[in-house]
Amino acid sequence: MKIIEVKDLKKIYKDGDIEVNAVNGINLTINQGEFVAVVGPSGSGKTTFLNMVGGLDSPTEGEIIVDNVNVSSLKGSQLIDFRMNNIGFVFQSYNLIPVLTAKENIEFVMHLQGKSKKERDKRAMELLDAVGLGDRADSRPSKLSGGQQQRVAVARALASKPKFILADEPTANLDSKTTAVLLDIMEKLNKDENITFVFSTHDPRVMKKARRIVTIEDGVIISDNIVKKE
Amino acid sequence: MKEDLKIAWRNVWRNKRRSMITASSILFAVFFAIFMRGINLGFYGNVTDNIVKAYTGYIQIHADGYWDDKIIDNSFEYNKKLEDIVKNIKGVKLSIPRLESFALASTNDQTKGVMIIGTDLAKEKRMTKLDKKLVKGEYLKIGDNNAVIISEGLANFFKLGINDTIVFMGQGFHGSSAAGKYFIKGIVKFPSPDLNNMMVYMNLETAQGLFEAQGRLTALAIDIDDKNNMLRIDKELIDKTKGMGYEIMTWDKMLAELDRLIKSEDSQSYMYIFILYIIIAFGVFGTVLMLTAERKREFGIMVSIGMQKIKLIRIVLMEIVFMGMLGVAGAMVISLPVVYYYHIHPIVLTGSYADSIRQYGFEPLMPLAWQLDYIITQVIVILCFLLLSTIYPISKIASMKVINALRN
Repeated sequence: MKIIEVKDLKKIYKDGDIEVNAVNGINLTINQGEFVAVVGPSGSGKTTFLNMVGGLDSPTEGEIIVDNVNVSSLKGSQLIDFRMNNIGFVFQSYNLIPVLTAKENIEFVMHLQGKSKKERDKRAMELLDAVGLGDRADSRPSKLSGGQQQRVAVARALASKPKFILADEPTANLDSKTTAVLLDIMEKLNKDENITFVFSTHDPRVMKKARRIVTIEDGVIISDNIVKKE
Repeated sequence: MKEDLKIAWRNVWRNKRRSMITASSILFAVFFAIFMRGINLGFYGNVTDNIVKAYTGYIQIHADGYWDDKIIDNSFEYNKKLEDIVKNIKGVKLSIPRLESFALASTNDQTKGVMIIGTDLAKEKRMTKLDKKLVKGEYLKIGDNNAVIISEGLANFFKLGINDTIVFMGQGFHGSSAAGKYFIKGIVKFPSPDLNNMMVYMNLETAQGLFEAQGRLTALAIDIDDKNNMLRIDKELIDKTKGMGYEIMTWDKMLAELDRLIKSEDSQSYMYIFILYIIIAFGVFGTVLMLTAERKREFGIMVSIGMQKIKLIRIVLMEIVFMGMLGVAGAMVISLPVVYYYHIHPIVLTGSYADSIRQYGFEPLMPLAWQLDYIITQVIVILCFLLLSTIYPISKIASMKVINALRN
């Protein structure tokens, strides 16, 4: 089932008279349950591409269809609600809310969705257990290691039961051991719960785990390979 | 809402030192503002009470034009209708009928201009406490029609004592001549040298007889229960005596110079407080500026994961209000007992300043005003400054582009 459909996507940045084509006509379809790595050198346009797919940035041209909704046509609060209910984000530098505990960070999105306290508690604890941090529920981000924070970030991204997770360089700040643990967790969630993951990365450890690798250079897809069968 | 409050409260404490400095600056600003206003209002209140209670009353009724031309021909006939109108107005405590005029006083070979006040002496002592100012002799009784009370300075000038005789000459009603001889029953002392050198009190009927102005008054001085009702009572009196040929004046109109002095002092004190608040406002704004700038990325994250901007704005507003309220609450805890203490135990002025105040006839006391209104005003002002300072984060969040915030 198609979950993301990108058509002729372009993003042009203007700096005075100079125009930079960060994304220059990308067409891509991602199906439910895929574990996709978007790779490419720095400045290739992969983060810009992911930002547009996530509705964080608006395309100059083209369409992004997520579950039959044209994301590029959504504006303001509609777009914020759409992101909340459909997309989970994992950022390179974790970006947890520092004044909330690990569990509260996970509950936060569910709170925004208007879920009951009971439901929030239950799911937050399930997710913390799933990322192996059930015993750190009451720790604030400052008391967690980088790897633990990123695992909480993954749990937070999953809290709203999104249609897919966008992870921008999720392992960039992690050591090998922590990266391996995080990737195992994400792979397990992908396999067990059929959650779609889309990463931007140039970390070979992530690429090794990915089942599909989309390579972007100069704002265009230069290769799109299924590297592992489901 | 509970969740938002929790986040806002915790955000206040994420940079404890900065929050404490901001809250403390608000605390001191509010404390000093309350203290300064307390002193000003207390002092003005004391001054006006001294004057109003000592002489004018809060409101006076005269014949139209009397205040501009204080001659006995501008007196009015005191009738039952006016008495009833005044009596029936809610909040009127007392009305004192007076007939006042200047005359020449003389004994042996000396003469001096004096102010004769014929009054209801029983009522007079209730409002002006004239009996408490007696330094020699006795207070006048009803029927003491050939006796007067004179001020101490006047007695000294004429070298007169109790039971000595004094003669008054002047102009009576409609050009009649006024002359009479009276014995001195009491001597009163006024703190104001002006008053102390010229005042003569006699029964109203005695004065009306002296000035050939039977049944007439130059003023009906009105004392009221609560000075906050003055304007309402003034308005009612004006409405009810419309077309009857009276002028109704509140004390601030009668003592316009004093009122102007108080108002100008008041404006100065407002200016000082305003400067104080401006300094604090910049401090608060600095904090708001910093917390907005350093959390730009965090704001971006919150919006990117689904928080509506309006909700984010609400949280930031709560944070700033919490910080302000901490300062305000602290200021209340410190200032209320201090203000109350000095309200009950006024600061006693000493030295030449006290002497100069005494010369005006006031007690050299500086009580702090114990009124909720000016205390609440300080809280409202600081909240307004806080709300003004929130314009910056509100506009930043409202115009925030998530992608730019994330790149921050």
